[in-house]
Amino acid sequence: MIRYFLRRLLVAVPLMFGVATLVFILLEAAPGTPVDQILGDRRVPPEVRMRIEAAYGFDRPAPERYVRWLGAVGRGELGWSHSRARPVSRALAEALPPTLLLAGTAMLFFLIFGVALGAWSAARRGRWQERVITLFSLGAYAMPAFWLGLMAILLFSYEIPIFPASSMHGIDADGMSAAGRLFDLIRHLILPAAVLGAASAAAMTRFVHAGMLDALAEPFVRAARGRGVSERRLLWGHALRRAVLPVINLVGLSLPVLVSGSLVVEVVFAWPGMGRLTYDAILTQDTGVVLATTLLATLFVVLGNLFADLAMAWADPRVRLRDGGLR
Amino acid sequence: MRRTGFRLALALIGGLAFCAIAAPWLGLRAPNEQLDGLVLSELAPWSRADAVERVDGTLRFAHEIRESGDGVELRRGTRWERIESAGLSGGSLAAAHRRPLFVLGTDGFGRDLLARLIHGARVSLFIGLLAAMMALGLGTLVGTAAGLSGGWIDAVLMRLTDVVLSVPRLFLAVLLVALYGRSLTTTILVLGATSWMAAARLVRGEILSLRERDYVQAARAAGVAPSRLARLHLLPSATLPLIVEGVLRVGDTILIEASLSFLGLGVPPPDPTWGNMIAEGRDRLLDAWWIATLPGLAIMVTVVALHLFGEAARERLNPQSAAC
Repeated sequence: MIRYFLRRLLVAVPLMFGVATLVFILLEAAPGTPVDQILGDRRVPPEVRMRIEAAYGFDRPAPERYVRWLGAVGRGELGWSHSRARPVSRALAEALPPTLLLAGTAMLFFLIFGVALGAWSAARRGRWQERVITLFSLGAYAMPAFWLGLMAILLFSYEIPIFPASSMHGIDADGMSAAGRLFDLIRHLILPAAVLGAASAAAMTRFVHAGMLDALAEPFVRAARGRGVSERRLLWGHALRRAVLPVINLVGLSLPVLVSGSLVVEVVFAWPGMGRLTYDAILTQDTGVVLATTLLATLFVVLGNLFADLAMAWADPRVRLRDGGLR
Repeated sequence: MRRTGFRLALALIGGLAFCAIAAPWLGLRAPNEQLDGLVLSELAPWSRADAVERVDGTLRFAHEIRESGDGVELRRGTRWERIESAGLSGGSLAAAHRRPLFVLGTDGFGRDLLARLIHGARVSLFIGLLAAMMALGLGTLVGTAAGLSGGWIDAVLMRLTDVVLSVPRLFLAVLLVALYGRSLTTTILVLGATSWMAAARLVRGEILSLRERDYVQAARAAGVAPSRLARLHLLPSATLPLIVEGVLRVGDTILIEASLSFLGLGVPPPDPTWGNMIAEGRDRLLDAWWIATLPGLAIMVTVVALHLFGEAARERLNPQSAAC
């Protein structure tokens, strides 16, 4: 197991390195120099421009800048965010917990709903319930997340006002007791988490549904049926157990969807996380922040896949024995 | 169920493509024209507005119209204005009175939403199609190069694919637009440049599985050049799966384009795309729900149709997966 872990890590680390390199190349190829960005529209004499270039190290040859860039990224020194008036790393550190909370809740949401709906629709195969769920999951998958968010606000914050439409706390949260604050947070969390998780829940539903139908066709299920195992136990005991294992893989695959989705969902719900930070940075042309959140989002995805691989190997010995981790 | 779904999807895609192509000749209003910012602001779907036609053929919209002496008086907001009978088409209110229908209503600028939605389809589908074609081209190029050369070229190209694939797509697209500026062209290029990876893997896999076949070995032994080998012997069998991949890619691309537009990084206004129509309707959501709702529905229906079509085509190509 440790060997397997090390091998997966050997894949993940160069991947991050590659992403940092790719971003560096994109930066270099972009029109205009970083000095133009610092100066904006101000006109300065050439020697001032040269002094700024020297101060930031832009006058160095590209390979040296590349090495410095990698070093800086590795140490987490990502520059100064002028839109938040603090170091980019601190802005990120402040924005990370809300995003983790939101994405974590969304994941919980799509796991529970995806598996339950997928299994239930497989149990109702051939009936109208199956069709309805299939249709709904198809639709949920095809909706832009931000639009679903707007519709959710329209329905559940305006027409039937049960959930708040934006932000993470009520304005009176400071005066509440601890339990009250927690309840307030949960109330604010439900809509954005459900919206963020909807596409993944749909994918999960379809996946578990197909997996259950596959499993039901397997000889071991037929054998169990022959032994007189009840249909209910066949479904929820035998087939579900078989269908749920590959779900771990799908959790890994759904991470990029969650991370990308948080970018727009946080904007819709004014959730003070990384997506919101990125959006503000776009509006104020704070490219350094966009860069940093992109790297962090990628790190998320890579780490998530690493964990999914490990969980899979832990749950299913065949995986770690078969491909040893190297593709 | 499957077959009807497939036919429905095909009909939808066909209808949409027809509307998108024929938009200028469908007799729609001009999508970017602010018809009347006062009277026609945020008209609900399927509503009519009073207007009189003037001698020059243009319409003057009004909240209320009444006859007065030799002419008509129009109320626009709190003000009344007067048009003499000589200025009316047909010379009288009875002949000049019009009540045009706004099928999907209007937005806050008094622009016709049906026209914008259909012209938006034109822009969104055009972007999706072009970006998907670019992705297929790039992917085929990378996949063929990797699959044919093998060795370190293959390793480098496939690691590159892994790297690009591990950056969440929307973030990558946002970063690219933030660095390279915002326009229709960048939108297409960025969307194409962030979605070639699946096609590359697909083509490479196909080539690897065919490379050792006898007929390929024979062609190679006969001295067929690699580019010709790829074109004539290897790629044809990858064509159909590639087309399916392309169809599914168009749907994905429309979704990402919508997100980019929503973040203000897509096609610049006033040109309508479904994404920036939703973005424009966002602030008026509670008072004029239809502005943001309709384009979202259009996106959903389109992506579902593309998805159903792509899946049905994939099942036809690969009957094994149809069993489940």
